Amino acid sequence: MTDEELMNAWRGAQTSTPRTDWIHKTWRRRKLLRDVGLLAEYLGGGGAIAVAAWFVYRSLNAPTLSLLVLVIVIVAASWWMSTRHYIMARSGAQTHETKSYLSELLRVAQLELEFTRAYTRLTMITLPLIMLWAMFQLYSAAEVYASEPWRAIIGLGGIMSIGAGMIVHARHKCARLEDEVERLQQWAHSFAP
Amino acid sequence: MFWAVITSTIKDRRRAAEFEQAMSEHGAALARVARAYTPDGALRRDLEQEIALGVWRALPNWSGDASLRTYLFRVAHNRCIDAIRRQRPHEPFTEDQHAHRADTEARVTARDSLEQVARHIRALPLSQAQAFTLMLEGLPHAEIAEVMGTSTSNVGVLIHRARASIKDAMEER
Repeated sequence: MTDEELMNAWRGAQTSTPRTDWIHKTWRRRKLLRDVGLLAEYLGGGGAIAVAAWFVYRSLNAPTLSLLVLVIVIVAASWWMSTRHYIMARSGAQTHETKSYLSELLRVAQLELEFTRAYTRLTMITLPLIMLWAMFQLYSAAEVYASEPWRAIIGLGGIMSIGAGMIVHARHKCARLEDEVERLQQWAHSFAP
Repeated sequence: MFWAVITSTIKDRRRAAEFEQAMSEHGAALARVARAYTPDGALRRDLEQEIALGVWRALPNWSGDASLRTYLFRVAHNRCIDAIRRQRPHEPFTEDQHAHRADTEARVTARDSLEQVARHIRALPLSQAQAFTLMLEGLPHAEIAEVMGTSTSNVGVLIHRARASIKDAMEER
């Protein structure tokens, strides 16, 4: 096939012009959803920090304080990353040249991957400490838990379920981001002269 | 408040008119960009819609430093890259999947020359696929370089390689 034949085959494709009547409505709906998501991020992050601060205020003993400060750090970092992601998405980078757009996508994906790895490690360190703290609580109020064992089952079970869920989710996210970074690197590499 | 509503309505109408104008001139070419990224019907339609939304969003920011066509092709390609970057590696741009898809598609659309071309384009590395499809749309090398963010000479090299790969693939058939 000559270039002209290829061109004719390509440009003669029965590709309809995208419908325009739904654009305005779809765009508004997406914008609303994005703004609601962002608001939820702010409220969720702020609320979690406020609750943690309230717990700190209520029980001013050292181990609890340390754990809660750690929780605040995790929540705040996670919140910041999400917010940053929204800001990046809004930055209008999609009008850049493809090469620089790929670099930007790669930079953000690598940053997100680093953060997720650190978050996973932090969770794996924090979880045993929380379990130790929970066991200590169990031991120090053994009489209460002996008479009402459901409290211990719900408490420990809850902590273990949440912790396991966090680790599984973080690992899944890591694997997805590793795939994405590898793919973006391949694409960016293909642009090298 | 009243003036804000009026201004907003006027802006929306102007934006809608600009959008209609841009899509009537370049819409079909922009929709064809999706074909270079995915063979799948439903996913391709999604990509076409993503491109249209990208154009709607980007159009008010066009400053005129590049031609409108260049600007819109940038948006279309970037939008497609953004949409497919989180797909599993066995989706577009991996050889195993392409071999499998090529085999399946070959049986279904062997006579469709467009699908043949599109299939070979999808098997190319991203930069070659992008340069080649822009060439097929009739953009000169300098304009392709502006879309991609690379040099004109590199565009020539990419198109030459893409052409050779497609020629080889077609001769193998």
